[in-house]
Formats: sequence, structure tokens, C-alpha cells
Amino acid sequence: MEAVVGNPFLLYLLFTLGAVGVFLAMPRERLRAEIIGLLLGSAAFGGVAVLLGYQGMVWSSEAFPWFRLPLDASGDQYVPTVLPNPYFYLFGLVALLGAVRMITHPRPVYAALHFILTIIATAGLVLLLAAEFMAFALIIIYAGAILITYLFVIMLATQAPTQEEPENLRSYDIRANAPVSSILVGFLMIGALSVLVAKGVPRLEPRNTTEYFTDPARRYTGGEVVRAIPQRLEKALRNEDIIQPEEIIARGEDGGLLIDGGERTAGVVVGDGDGDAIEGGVVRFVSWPDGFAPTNTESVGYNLIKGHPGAIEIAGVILLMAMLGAVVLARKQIQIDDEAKYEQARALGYAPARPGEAGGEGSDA
Amino acid sequence: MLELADAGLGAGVLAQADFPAGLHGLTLAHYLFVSAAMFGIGMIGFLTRRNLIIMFLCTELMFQAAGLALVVFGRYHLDFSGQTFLIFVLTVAAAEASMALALVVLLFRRSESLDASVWQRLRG
Repeated sequence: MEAVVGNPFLLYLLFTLGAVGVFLAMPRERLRAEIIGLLLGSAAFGGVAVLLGYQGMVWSSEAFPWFRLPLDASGDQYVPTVLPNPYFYLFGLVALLGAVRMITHPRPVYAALHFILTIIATAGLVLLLAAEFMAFALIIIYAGAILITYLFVIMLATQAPTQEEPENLRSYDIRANAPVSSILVGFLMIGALSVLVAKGVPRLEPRNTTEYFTDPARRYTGGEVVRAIPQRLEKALRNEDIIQPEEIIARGEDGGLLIDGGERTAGVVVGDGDGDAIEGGVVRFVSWPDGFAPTNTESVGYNLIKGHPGAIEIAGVILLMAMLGAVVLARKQIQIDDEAKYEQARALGYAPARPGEAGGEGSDA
Repeated sequence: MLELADAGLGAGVLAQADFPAGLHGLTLAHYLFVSAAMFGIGMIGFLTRRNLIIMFLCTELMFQAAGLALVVFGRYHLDFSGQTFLIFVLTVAAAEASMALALVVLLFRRSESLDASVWQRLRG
């Protein structure tokens, strides 16, 4: 089996470049170098992309024999016949640059906005995997709900820039905490993980790959999901005029629906109008319409409800507990003395009476 | 898409028969690289930033990376459990966000600062 990246030393070099880029992009008081850092980071990502995308192509092994040393000498060489999907590299670049900018931007609001960018790019990556439901759930839940909550808290707790102080940054946002050792440790982990991925993935066999490609009965057609929602198959069959309006999908002798995902066929019988077959009806077998398959949402929903019913309940309990916990924590009253209230009101431009003066205008008891 | 087997692309290529999107030579490793890098960046951010809110944002970034790995492994094994698990990851992330932000608001009201090092004296 092929090694995905032949020569890990090139990968280490690129990760060092990325580490230097992230270090330069870190917030500091003087000598800000975000642009150079981001350029270095993009260059590192581009290098890894080239390594991943083109290293198996013929020119590399001819022009640069050192470019990939196969880790497994007996393995086949991976020679892609088509260019890799450009959208993957686009979304990957946006996701990682957004992530780097998120951890390096001194202003928390912009960090949150860059995280939204990362989420949208990740949703694009997930969309490439034909997981539409998760892609849109990521955007709706993460970008729409969680990040808006973060933005509320950020706006509650940070100072807005004023005309006198256009920067107005807090010291804890400007100075990074131990950047050198953190980046060293972080990129060591990224490097170790990546080389493990490069070496280990080829040894990871997907489920029944060989049968999957050669045996039509094993190919994924969603037969199990369709059996759970036979109305959709009935509707598709009626729309294609394959069955008559009064015909329904028949049940076998064991009571199960006659739907075969492997052969893409279904048994239909004339119904009595109440969802049951008429007495003595003859079952005939029809093929599914071309291109009929359960959608991603239906498959995920089926897997969720069929496979993990207990986990849904536990997730509900977790959400309820989180809500209760947040309410309990946020309801806690902080005592503010009258002097502090007076100072705050004066800062806002009101003129309340000093604490202690009875009956003053605008004083709230 | 049966010709994929004949092309001898091997197990590293994401299986794609009967799935609508063309993955054009992408392998499991491509996605895992992005996932690993995103997780590492999130970890670096958690270690380097001193702003409490951004530290929690970095944990969300690590959740994202784990979720991406879950989806791509689910695709690799032609199993929807990966995507189902991402739903639970989203649930935990939402619960974590609400609790963490409530804590941050509480800490901010006490110390008028989002600096994590203000609370250093909490160490035992």
C-alpha cells in the first residue's frame, strides 16, 4: 500500500515554516509582522498541498527522485490520474488561515469573525464529502448560534475603540503568553500527527472495500434507510409512472417490506386504500427509479434514531443541565456599593445625587 | 465509478461509488492533515492567548477539527455514524459554550478583566 507522503523530512521543513509564520503573526507590542507571518503560513500550506496533490505524479519521481522515498518499499505507487479537487485546497487554505488569524488577532471581535470564516470553510470541506446536513448544521449552529453568543459576551466585556484611543487594546490581548514554547509544542504535535497520518492511513482498510467495488449486492444503496421510509420510494415510483396510484409496496411472508437495496428492486401490490394489500393480490417486482437514493439528511436521521436513541436522551439532559447551570451562574448578584453606582452614573453623563443625600433627583434606592 | 477499483488507487482514496460529490483523487490523509493542523492551531491558541473568551474560542476550534475528522472517517468507512457523532459534538460544544460564557461573565464582573492570569491564585 502506498505511503501518502513519501518523505517526511520535507513535511517537517514545511511545518517549521508554518511555525515561524504563526510565531510572526502572534500579537506583540512592537514589530508586528502579521502579513509576513500569514504569507509564510500560506506558503507552508501551499507546500503541503503540492506534496499531497502532486507528489505521486510521474514528473516528481522522474525530476526529483528524492521527492518521495516510499516508506513501504513493496507498496504500489499512488498515481492520481486526475488533478485533485481544487475546492479542497481552497477551503482548506481559508480554514487554516482563518484559524491562524483567529488565534493571532489582538481584537477579540475580529478573532470571533475569523472563527466564523473557519467554520464556513469547514462546512465547505464537509460539503465536499457529500455531508450536506452536517455542513448546514455547522453553519446554522456554530456560526449562527454559538458564535453569536460569543460575540454578545465579547461586546459586553471588551472596551470599544474611542476617538482618543483608536487602538484601545488591553495588555492581555497584546502580549502572547509563552509563544515560543507553545508554538514549538503545537507544531511538534501537528508534525507527529501528520507523519502518523501519512504512514498509518494506507494500513487502514475501509470496510469491505473490495466487495464494495466488485460485488453489486454490497454497494451502498441505502436499502435499509429506504425500508424505513417506504412512502418516499412509493412516491418516486408513482411520479415516474412505474406503478399505478393504487399500488403500494408489498410485505413479504415475514411481514417485512419487499425492498431490496442491493438489486434496487421493490415488490408492489394493489392496495385496498388503507395501506394494506388486497386479499389475494399478486406481487410484481419493479426497479427503483434511476438515481433514487435516500438523501444525506434521511440517512443521518435514520442512523441517529436507529443507532443512538439513548445518546439523544443523554444529549438532551446535557443541554438542559447546561441551560440550568448558565442560569444559576449568571443570576448570581454582585454587590455594587453606592459610590461605584454614583461614579458610573456620572461617567454616563447623568447627574444623580451623591449617595447619602436624601431625595436627590434621579437617585434610585 | 467502478473504474476506481481498476485504477488501483487503493484504500487511501475515499470510497465514492454512489455518492454524488466527485472527490478527484482526495484521500483520507488530505482531510486528516487539515484536521490535525486545525487542532494544533487551536491548541497553540489556547496556550498562548490570555483572553478568557479567545481561549474558549480555541476549544471550539479543536471541536471543529475533531468533527471534521469524524465526518471524513465516516465517509471513508461508508458509515453515517461519523456524521451522527458530529451532531453530539455540536451538542456538547453548545453546552460548553453556554457554561463557559456564563463563567466568563461571572469572572469578568468580579475582576473587571478577561485576563486568565488574574485568576492564577486559584492554583492549589
